[in-house]
Amino acid sequence: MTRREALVWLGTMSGSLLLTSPVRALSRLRPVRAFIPRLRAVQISDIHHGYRGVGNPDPAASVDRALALVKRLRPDVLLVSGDLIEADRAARVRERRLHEVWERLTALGIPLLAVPGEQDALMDRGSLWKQVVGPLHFHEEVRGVHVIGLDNVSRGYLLGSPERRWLFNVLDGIPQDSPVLMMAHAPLAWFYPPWNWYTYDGPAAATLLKRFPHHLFIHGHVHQVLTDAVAGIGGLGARAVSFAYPLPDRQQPVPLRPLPMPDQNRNDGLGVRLIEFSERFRVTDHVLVEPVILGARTD
Amino acid sequence: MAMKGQLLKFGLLPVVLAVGVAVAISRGLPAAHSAPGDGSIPQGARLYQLACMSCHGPDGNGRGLAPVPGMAAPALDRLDLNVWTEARLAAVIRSGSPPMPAFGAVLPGDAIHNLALYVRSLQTAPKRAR
Repeated sequence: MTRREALVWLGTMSGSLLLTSPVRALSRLRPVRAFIPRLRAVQISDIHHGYRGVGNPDPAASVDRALALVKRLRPDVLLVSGDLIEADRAARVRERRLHEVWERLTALGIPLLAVPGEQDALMDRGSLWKQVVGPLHFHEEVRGVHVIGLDNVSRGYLLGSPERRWLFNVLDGIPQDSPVLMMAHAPLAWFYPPWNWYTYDGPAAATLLKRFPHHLFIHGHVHQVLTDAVAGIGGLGARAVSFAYPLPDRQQPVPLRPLPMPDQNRNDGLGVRLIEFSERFRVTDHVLVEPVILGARTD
Repeated sequence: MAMKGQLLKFGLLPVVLAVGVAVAISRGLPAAHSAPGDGSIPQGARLYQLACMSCHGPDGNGRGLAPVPGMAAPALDRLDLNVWTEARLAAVIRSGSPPMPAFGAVLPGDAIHNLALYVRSLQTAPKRAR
């Protein structure tokens, strides 16, 4: 073989390898199926309308930013997981706050499904909530997804046997292959009882979801993205729109207090959640802070 | 006849004695299962940690979370036990008083009884004289 022939052979072999490798690689790829959601929902939580404190020096601005983000996300339904207001001893103050925040949410023009937080309902066992918002617990079908709202706050951090019986009957009537999205304010798991981050009879409720392969349980109350589990059912805690909480330290218990919000980083730790369903649930947590672009000029 | 009487006297005597001793022992020893109404302070303590401590504080010291801003749950270690009888405590635990939950929705009667016993056991102040 001459040098020329060798070079041609080498070039041919190299070319063949180069051409066939990507073809072989591509042939191993599975086709990507587009995720076209049947349902787009946004979860917004813990607005605490009326709050004043170190956790947020300008909570109204945070609510404005959150609602602007909700509008941009264009959900089919807005899920509100409780603590719409910051409670007060005076019933008239609670009433004014709940009316104000509910009118603000209603004005978005997006269908609303809401569960109470303890700030909304504990003082009067949910009486004001029922007048202004609606039932304390509910079941609605939205684009084929069964949305169930639980009240685990109005009589304390518990459901009670009447509500558990109601839940059993609701779930019993839902076909097993249907998607079920369950929402409550407090976690169903006994995540951290010293901070009331639990539902006393939550495990009994959670276990009812087991027969549904497509289920999602979301909650508020913890003011951060947090995963928990009880009876084999996972739960997803959400960021608040008002202020953030720390994670509990089980080795060194401390009182629960909002994390102070620094002036230079407003809305840090706050956010809303996008939930989509198309054969499976997909969750995307959005934050309210301005994105920081590394290397951006500041002058 | 006298022998028969002797036999009766000495035959029954051990039986009577055995029964008597058994009765005496049973009154002195705790029953294998608590009789209704006995209650358990340790059980109450465990329930307290789960359901009450968050608001009423460790050992009922009142240093817990305020469930609603400005409405701290009261301390439970300075109660007048003549006023806060077991029955009264159990009634409050069962029915609640907003913002205190109504634990009767999830706790059976004996659990509430145990909680009431435990709360009464927390008292650190001298009891008031009647």
